[in-house]
Amino acid sequence: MANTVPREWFQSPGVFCHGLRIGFRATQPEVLAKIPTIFPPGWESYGDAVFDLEYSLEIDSKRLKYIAYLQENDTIVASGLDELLNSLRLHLHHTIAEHASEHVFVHAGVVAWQGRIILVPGRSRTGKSTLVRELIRAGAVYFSDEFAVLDDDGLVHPFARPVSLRCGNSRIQYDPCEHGKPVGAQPLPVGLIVITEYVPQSKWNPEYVSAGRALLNLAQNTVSIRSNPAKILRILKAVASSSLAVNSPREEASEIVLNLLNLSTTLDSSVAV
Amino acid sequence: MYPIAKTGLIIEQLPAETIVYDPKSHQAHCLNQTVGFVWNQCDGKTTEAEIAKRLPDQIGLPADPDIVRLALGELSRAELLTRESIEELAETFPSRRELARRLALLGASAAALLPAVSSVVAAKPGDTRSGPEGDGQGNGGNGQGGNQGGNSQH
Repeated sequence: MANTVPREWFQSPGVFCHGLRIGFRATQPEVLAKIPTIFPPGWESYGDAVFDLEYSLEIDSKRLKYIAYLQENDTIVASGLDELLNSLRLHLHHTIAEHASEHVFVHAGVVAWQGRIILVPGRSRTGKSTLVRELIRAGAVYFSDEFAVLDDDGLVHPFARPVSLRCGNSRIQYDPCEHGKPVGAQPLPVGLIVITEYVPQSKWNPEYVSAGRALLNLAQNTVSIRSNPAKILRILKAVASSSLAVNSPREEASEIVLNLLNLSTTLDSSVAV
Repeated sequence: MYPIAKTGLIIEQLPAETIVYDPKSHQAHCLNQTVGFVWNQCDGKTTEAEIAKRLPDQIGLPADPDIVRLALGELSRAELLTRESIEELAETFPSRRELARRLALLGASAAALLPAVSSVVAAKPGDTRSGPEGDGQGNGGNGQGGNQGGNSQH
């Protein structure tokens, strides 16, 4: 979106996240105070004025104009400031996932159980956030409801934002911290990959999945695999080769949680499902 | 014929499977042990009959040319052979069901080695962006949706 009218911009302090220097500017200074609420998990302060990515927020509350865009592309339009910030947060997280150079982002719900990661790959609307919440309730440590962030060794780093759940036409946020639930702090290896989705009236009957097919599923859910497939496949191979993978549709998430935690506890390929 | 494997691909070898990524089509394939072995023999100098003769020692399957032909069919559909090889292959391939039946008679381990390729298409960067935030449905909070992406098994 070309900015043809000269505007006065107010600059927010930038952040450094996953190898990216991200800046924010707005047409109203009071908006800047709310920018930190959308910062991604794992952000660090960044004081320089050179950015890899810069978001611009054009706000005119009198004219009900709430627009954000990334370097004159990817315009976000909202009817209010809160809605704009929510959309911006989502856009920011996905932009980081697409551009991050230090880590590989896989669409997945992620928790930890007894020092090993349970990874539930899947895109939006597959039910992974609901399953993550149930696992947290059962005592698992929360890592993320959106991304498994893998490093070069295949370890998973936390990307812990509040779990976002759809409830009818609205969304509710479940913050594990507010419920006294633990959140991951250190990277951990993957122990169990759960390939599943919510299917009404289905029966949970997990079958083992080979490392190769588990790798394919991870690849299918990896955000930026096309940009560096050789490196990413190497990392995914490390993950798939050292973990157990199962596949089954599921109905109620709460009904399969104990089975998943038991599977994760006994991570031996000879164990019957 | 002397089948030839396509080059310029990214390969990761697992103990019993081969992962192949085509950076031009952005498709990723998982070749099972049998197809991976046959693909490795596609050097342009080895005939189908010669590949078949190697099956017992290398894979533990009988020297059945239909096994090789079916594997070549899988490789052809996944476009992991050169264009010339694909065109040279006959359009009719052995019955997968019939071959499965024959291998089943030899035991479960042989049946598990029936040539097979699974394929997915790697997402483009924008494809993985979620729709409206969150998932789940209803007061119980259990989600509804479907896993996306082209996932096919030959």
